[in-house]
Order: sequence, then structure tokens, then C-alpha cells
Amino acid sequence: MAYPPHEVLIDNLHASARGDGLAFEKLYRATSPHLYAQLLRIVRQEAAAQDCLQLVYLRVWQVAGQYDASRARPMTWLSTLTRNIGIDWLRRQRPQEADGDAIIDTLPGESDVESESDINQQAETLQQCLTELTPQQRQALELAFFEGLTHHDLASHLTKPLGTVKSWVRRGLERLKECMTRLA
Amino acid sequence: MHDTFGLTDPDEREMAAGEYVLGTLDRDQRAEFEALLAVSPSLQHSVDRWREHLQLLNQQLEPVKPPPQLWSGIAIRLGLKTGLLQRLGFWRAFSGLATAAALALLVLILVPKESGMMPGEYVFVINQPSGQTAWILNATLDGKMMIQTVSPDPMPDGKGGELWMMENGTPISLGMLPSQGEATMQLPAKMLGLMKTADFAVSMEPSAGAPGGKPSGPVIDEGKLIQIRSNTVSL
Repeated sequence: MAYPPHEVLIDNLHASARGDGLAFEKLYRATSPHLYAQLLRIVRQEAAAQDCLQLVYLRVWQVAGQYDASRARPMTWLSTLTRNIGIDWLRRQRPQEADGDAIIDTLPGESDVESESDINQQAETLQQCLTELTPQQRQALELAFFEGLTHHDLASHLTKPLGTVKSWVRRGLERLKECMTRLA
Repeated sequence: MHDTFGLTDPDEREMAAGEYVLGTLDRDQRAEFEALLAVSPSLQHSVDRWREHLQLLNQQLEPVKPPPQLWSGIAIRLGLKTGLLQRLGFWRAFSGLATAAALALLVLILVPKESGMMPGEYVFVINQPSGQTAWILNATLDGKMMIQTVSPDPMPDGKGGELWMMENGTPISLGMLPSQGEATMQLPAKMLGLMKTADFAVSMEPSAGAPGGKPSGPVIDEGKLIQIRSNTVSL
């Protein structure tokens, strides 16, 4: 799915770092549907995803000054921060295991974010890279990425030998990188 | 297979950067990787690139608009003034993150528009253990209390929230809170002097009131009134 234009987000991040609340609100409006979707995928409970999303933006407001446009695109930076908060939440929950209500599958599939056609096209092209992965590779990458599983966790989760799982991850990473480099 | 972790070989290092960003390294490997990362700009560059590659996994997700009140909670926490605060129905905004003080401030911001609804010099925000606000209680200096229902968790049939005020360690019932809409209560004159300092509590009780006039059910929330004075909130 297309992201808002990088330049606008970068400006809003820089302005937020200077304490510009309006820029921060714009940043929130433009990015929160993406980060919320990400948190729903990670924590799989609406209420927890909302709590995490608040934490994300409180954190963004605090650390916006640390954003370095030469090192990451704005959405990548925001998503990394979001993922850390989501997975941190997940790890804190894991011992007592969530009660399973309000899981993501029951959510309405809202998609009211307008996308710009050429950015959209680029995004679609890149999405192809995911389809170039084998189902096992993609599953292994997504489990690790969204659920914070290590090689060992993956092996026990998928009941496969450690070596097999490691190889899915590596081949998946290699193929993804190769495709991204080719198409980007 | 890659059972050994070789960071000396450039290709291995590049893959390890991917696995590091993906989060699959075990603790020792991660520590080893981070030790090198701290001193290697080229490895930092690899990590940055892998973050961009793997961002694709996020980008495939269909965006979902968060509930509108979420922003209000963030704005209040950060003390930002935004147009959204004027929205009606914002009361439901307050999840566990919103503090009573922040909410009191918001009440204040809204008073000019909502003066019929939320007058009073004091406020007590009744949150449930989940952090979700259930009721907002506003009180005037002469002991009139207005209760606005926000979003109480569903209770078993025949149960409701009962409001208590502590008088020298003894809970005095002030009545049942509404399950929806608004209600008013009047504090007995003899308790007015205590109002500013007393502890208040809400417990789950039979809808007809706690048996024997003593709290019997689980406590939903407890706290004190927060004074709202001109444009500030004093705790």
C-alpha cells in the first residue's frame, strides 16, 4: 500500500522535533493508519494496538529530532519504532498468553486512505518481490518480523529442524534483497 | 546450514545484518553482531538497507484508520491544542493513557461549548481497570454532582456502579451511577466540608444498591476530586 510522500513526512518530522504541534498532527493523520495496521498485525488485539499506537506517537514526539533522513526513509523509521513497541508489548504478554478476544481477523477491513497513483504503482511493483518468495520463506520472514520469533522460536513454532528454518530465512532474505535491488 | 555465526566473511556479515533486522538471531549472536555494529559504519549501512528491504512486509498491510479519539488522547498527553478537541463524542477518547488531570483540562477547554453539560469546580474521572473511562463526575462547591456516562464495561444483569465517599474511613453511599446518559446527585450538607479531600470510590453492586449500605462488590476505581480553577487544573 502506498505511503504518503517522503518529503512531506520528513518536513513534518523535522517540524515536530522543533515542537510544532500542527505538523505533528499532520504526521499523525498521514501515518497512523499504516502504523495502526502494523500494530494490529503484531499485537492482534484492538485495544492493545491502540495503546501501543499512543505510545508510538508519544515516543515519536520525543525523539523526532533523532530522525536522520540520510539513513532511513521516514516510514521505515516510524515503522521500526512501531515494531519495537509492538514486539516489546508482545514479549511482555507472552508468559501469560493473551485471552484471544478481538483478534485481528474480526476487524473490518477499512481502507479509507487515498493513494497517489505513481507511488502506488511503485509500491505494487515492489510488492511483487513478496510473491517471489516461496510460501515457507514468506511465512518464516513474516513470523519473525511481526511476531518477534528467533530462529529457535521459528523452528519450534513451525515444528521444523533449526537448519531448515534458518535456510528458509536466509533464502527468503536473499531473494527479497535481490528483487528489491532489481526493481527499486 | 549456517550453524556457525561467521561475521568475518563479508557475505555472511551481510546476511547476518538481514537476520539482525528481521530479529531471528539468538541472544549471543545478537550481542556479537551488535558489538561489531557499534564500530562498523559499513555494517550500520547494511542494517539501514535491510530495514528498507524488510519495510516491504509492513507496506503490504492494508492501512486501518485508528479510532478518531486516539489522537485526542495523544494531543492531551502532549499538551497540544488541536481542532479535534472540539469534537463531540470525544469522551470516549480516554484510554488508560489519559490522566485525570489531562481530562480535567479538556473538560475545561470544552466548558464554553458544553457549559450545560459539565459545569462544576471539581472533577473525578472514573476509569475501569482496563484504563477505559467509565464515568466523569463533576461537582460544584455546594455539593451538586453531575455524572456523565462515558463507556462503562458491560456488567452482569442486575449490577451497576455505586459511588462512595469515604467519611473518616467509613464509606458513605452517594447512589448508583447511571448505566447511560447523565445523572445528578446531591452531597449531604454535612459532608460538604470533606468533599475536597475525601476519597471517592466506585464499586460494582446490585442495581438496587449495596446490601446493608456497605460496599460488597469489586472496586472499579477510587480517587479524589480534582479542582478545576480558572484556566488551570490544580491537583
